[in-house]
Amino acid sequence: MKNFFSKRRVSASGFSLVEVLVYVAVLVLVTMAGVLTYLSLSTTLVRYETERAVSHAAQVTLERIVRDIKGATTITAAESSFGTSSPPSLTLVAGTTTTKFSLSGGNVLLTQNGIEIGPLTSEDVTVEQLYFLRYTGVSTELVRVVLTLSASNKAASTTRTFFGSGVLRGSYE
Amino acid sequence: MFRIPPHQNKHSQVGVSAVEVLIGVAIASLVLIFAANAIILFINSGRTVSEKTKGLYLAEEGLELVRFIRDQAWTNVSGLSTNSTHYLRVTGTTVTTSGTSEVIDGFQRSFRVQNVYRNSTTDDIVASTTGGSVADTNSKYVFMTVVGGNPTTTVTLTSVLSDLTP
Repeated sequence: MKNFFSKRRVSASGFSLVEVLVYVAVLVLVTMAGVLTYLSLSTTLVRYETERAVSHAAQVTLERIVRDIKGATTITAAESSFGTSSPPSLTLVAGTTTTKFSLSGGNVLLTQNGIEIGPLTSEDVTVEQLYFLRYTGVSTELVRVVLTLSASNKAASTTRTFFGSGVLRGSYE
Repeated sequence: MFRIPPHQNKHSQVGVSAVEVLIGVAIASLVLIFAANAIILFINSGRTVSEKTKGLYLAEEGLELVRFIRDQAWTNVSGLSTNSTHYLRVTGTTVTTSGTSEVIDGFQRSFRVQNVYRNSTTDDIVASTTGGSVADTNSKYVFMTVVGGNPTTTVTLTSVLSDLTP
């Protein structure tokens, strides 16, 4: 036994089997940790992109619609449709300005005084659902907006529903 | 433990021992894992922002709905017991207050009502403990709270509602 070790040490210029095994094991562990970390990072990043797109589109769209509802005096009922049964549209009158929100090609479209201003939502987001609800009170009116947005890319998909309501300040008598 | 004694193999002195390699790899792995976790945590904050945005809109909407309920009759708000939790009930045609929990898309929305105290001379809003303060029967604090989402977020908005009846 003693002879075996002393003989091996003298002749050893490379690695022993145990050393190689330990190196390989460590290498495999580090590679696995690296690959898992990369996969986790890329998945999180991809999901973050869709989250950010939906969140940003919701802020821009709801902010605009609710602000216009609050600033409006009346609703043009003939050019508005409420509930989920028909394509959504909301036409608000504030002074001499008529603002219409409708759904067109998966985007929320803004029209002012008959002129198409453009879509409120960006191309990377799809409007899954948009509808308006109208509540008529004793002296005021309230409009509720329900907006479902989705964004997806190769690896992730995000869908969220946002709610917003506004009392028509101009409806106070 | 694997180091070959210097007097036996001088060539090994220029390389590194297995223990050194292991320590080096362990430190590098730890740094890598901590860095990756920090990045993942940072990116996940995007999801938190998204949930917070949703909660914020629900809370803002809640205050607007209470405002609408107030517009029907001031007693709808002034009659609510202070410091107890109330809920909203929104159907396709009506908006009312309710004693039943309201859950919207994974978020619970509730509100509390508190008295507003004013300085009897200047009418400025003051704390109830301030000397000379009088409870204003025509104003109420409304604290709207929305809790929910994943990760769970809490949003609380406060507004003072007043009786607008002429």
